[in-house]
Amino acid sequence: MKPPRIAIWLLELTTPPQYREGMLGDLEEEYLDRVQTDGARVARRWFWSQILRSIPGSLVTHRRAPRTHSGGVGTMTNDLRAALRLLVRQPVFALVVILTLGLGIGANTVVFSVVHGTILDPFPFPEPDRVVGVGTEYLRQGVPLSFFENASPAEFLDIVAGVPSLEDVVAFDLGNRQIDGEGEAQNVFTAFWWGDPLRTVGMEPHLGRSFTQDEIDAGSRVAMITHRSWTNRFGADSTMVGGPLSINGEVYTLVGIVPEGVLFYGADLWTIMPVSPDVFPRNRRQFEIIGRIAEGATLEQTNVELERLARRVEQDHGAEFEEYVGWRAEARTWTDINVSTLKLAGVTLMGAVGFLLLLVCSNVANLLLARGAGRRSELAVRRALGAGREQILRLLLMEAALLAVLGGALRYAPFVPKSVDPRRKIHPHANQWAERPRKKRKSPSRTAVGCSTVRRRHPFADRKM
Amino acid sequence: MSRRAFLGEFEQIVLLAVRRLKDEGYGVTIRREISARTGRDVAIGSVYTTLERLEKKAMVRSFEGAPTAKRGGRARRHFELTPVGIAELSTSRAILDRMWEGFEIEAGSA
Repeated sequence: MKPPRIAIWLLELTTPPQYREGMLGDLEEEYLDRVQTDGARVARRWFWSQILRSIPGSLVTHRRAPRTHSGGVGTMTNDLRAALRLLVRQPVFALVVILTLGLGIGANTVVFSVVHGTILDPFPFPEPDRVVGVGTEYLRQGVPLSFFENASPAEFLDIVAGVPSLEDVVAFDLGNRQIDGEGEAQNVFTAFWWGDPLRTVGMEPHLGRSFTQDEIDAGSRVAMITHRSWTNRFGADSTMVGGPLSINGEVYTLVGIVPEGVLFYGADLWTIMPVSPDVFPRNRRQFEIIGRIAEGATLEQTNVELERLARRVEQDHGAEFEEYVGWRAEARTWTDINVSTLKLAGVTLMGAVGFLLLLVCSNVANLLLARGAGRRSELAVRRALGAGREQILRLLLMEAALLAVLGGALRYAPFVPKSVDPRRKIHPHANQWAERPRKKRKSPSRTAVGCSTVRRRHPFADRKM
Repeated sequence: MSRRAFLGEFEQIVLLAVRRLKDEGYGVTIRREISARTGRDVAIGSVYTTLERLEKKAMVRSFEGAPTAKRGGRARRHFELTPVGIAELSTSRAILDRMWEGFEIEAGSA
């Protein structure tokens, strides 16, 4: 249990070398005694109080020591001591400036954390720019471009076969299922997949494995649960992976745990769609489509291919389904699709706190200016004693830098929370920002173009969903 | 009487603490001795600043002990009174005794 390093550093900076070792040793010895008797928190508070009470006396006693201003580290230390002395002499001024800066910087940090977490980089995918959703627009029916419950299984199959720049294309539907356990059955928002979504987003399961191609083709009763559900509902029990899971009275095998932070529209249970896409009518539009842009391809290229596909479908099916006249499909990054509504709010918020920081800066500048005017005589004395313009400038710069550093260092003050995790605070339950781990390592990219996740004939096509 | 200024109150307290501790006088024990006897929780910086001043006036001398692990490998700096320090303490005591001679201040009197 070591005493606080910053406190030691401050004392080292301000005490004369001949007593430094003795004083620091004494403090450390008594600190350790106090940790034993009073606990670490009390001991640390005592240590800080000793340091803060010792510095002013030490500075005042040693301020008359002769100094040579020859430049280099020694000069900087001298300037720093002089700046510290000034702050100690005017504690209210220092406190006001430090708190003002701390507030401005703190507000900006918090808002940037939120904006970064919800708008700039909301998903933990290794290459979020390559994960896209496919939206559709049916002008003839007056249906605007939508990425949610917008596509039919037949259109999904068209995209799998007809857009080579998209790989690992998957589609999913959403609904509710019940997980039966020892206690009461729990309702769980569920995603039913055609394909392996983890492969699409380029991530590995947290535990176990993802859906295999055979399982997808067979519509097997296998399931995965999200990391948050596994943690909150099942106590992060790793032994349940590979075991049975009763869903709506049917026994599934829990094959894996979705990696932390991966969530699609808040669905906590993932299962394979038990029926093949080709059993649905062409106009059954209740699915979402996600794919990954292939290595070397671009979003523009994907959209050109989607446009070509739309015209081909219009030609083939326009007579039977009139909504295909003039329809179009468009791919956008999954991030764009999900944060577009928040973008304006985020940018506005960033702008607002940006202005707040400007205000803070101008306030602090005013305070420094007013204080500078009040120090004319002191500076004149310094000049008269032989301080050059450069030395005075350096001293003033050092004071300003010290204030700025201390203002920024408020972030490490014990009463400031150690991390801001906006996704936990803002969306606690029902969306994809609710979890957010640190970024995982990049998975090796998969280049198997046309790696179809779809089967044409399904052995259990007649099974009810 | 010496032309030198009187010892300050805290200087006397520190000198007396060093004297009481004999061979055991270093920062921690001196600070604890003062706190225990005066009820004042003094800062280690104040103790060292005073000791430094007293050493410059040759009233105490200091020497380094062996480093210990408990102190992060740092050595103790031991302090002891010099004959000058003892003489100054005696002088201060004598001056104060003379000033007190003949009366006591009762509680509540102005």
